[in-house]
Amino acid sequence: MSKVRAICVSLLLAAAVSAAALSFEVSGGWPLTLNASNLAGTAGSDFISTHTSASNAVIIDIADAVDQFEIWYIDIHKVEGTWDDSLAISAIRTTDGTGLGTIAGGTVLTEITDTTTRFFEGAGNRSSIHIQLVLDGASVTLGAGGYSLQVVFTLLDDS
Amino acid sequence: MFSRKRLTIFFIVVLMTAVGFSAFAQAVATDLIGVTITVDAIALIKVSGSDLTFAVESPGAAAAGELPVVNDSNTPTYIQYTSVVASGARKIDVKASAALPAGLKLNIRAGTPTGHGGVGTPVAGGVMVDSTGPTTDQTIITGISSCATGSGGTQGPAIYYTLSIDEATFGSLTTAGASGITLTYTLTANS
Repeated sequence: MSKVRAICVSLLLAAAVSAAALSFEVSGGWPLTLNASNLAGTAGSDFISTHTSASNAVIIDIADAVDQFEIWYIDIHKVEGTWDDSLAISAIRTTDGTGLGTIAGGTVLTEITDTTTRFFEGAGNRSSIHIQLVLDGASVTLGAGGYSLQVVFTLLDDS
Repeated sequence: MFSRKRLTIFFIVVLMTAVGFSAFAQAVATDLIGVTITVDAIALIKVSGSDLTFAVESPGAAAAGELPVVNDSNTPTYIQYTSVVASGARKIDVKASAALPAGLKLNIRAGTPTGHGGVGTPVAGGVMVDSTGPTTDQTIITGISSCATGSGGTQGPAIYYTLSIDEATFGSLTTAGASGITLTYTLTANS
């Protein structure tokens, strides 16, 4: 009987631990084309070095929080495809989104590197958090072709 | 059967696990988006500088018997270009709109290109236009890849022009008055 009770108690505790089924969805992306219209001037000039996406290039929705006090973090890093080391990409949070919870951080440019970096944090459900991406280092010396990477967002639950 | 001691240890382990979950944020999900940058091929060129004027004049009484002299107070022109290629190289050609009057020849020579990237290399000695032409493209810079020379009026390679008396056809030189030609520069793929 005691064994059964112990198993029940541990299951309840485990259930309590895993009850926070926080989830999120990241949508969007940034296709950028650089051509003659992106030169800084007339013939002889280079590309404008810095290019900025739409302010809502990426939209994040955080859902399934237990309550508005369930704390979460968003980390960010990149996985390079065909990329060039002269290019740098950064992200900035342009809106707070909506919801009963709170949100903080991410309102200054955060360079996205190969190493996971804390981007912003909050608590509770938040919908439609807008992210803008910024590319630095564009130059004609890249040569014609395609360059790509993936920006990986990680949701961490602090409950 | 769980003894009291074993049950206590069991609860402590479970509680520590729970505390551990609370003290350290756990990654619960990842999602990603793509960033794709497409760089298009570009070939832009412009020429900066003033039109050139040459005067073929008498060598003066003291130099009677000598060939006429060419009075040249021109300054160089400059070529600015932006080139983006996926591979291979480009060149810059110059083409005269017409041959020169008999007795004259014009040397067109590029200085060392400046800028960044693969700005190319000037053809040694430049090219020549005389009374026989040519009126087709002649290459003055080769080996241009992806580059930008700068767009300022004195950026990029200087182009030097030297008009001289062509002794081979000087006998046909006449005082025909002003005669002009147009030079056209083209940034093009290597053929």
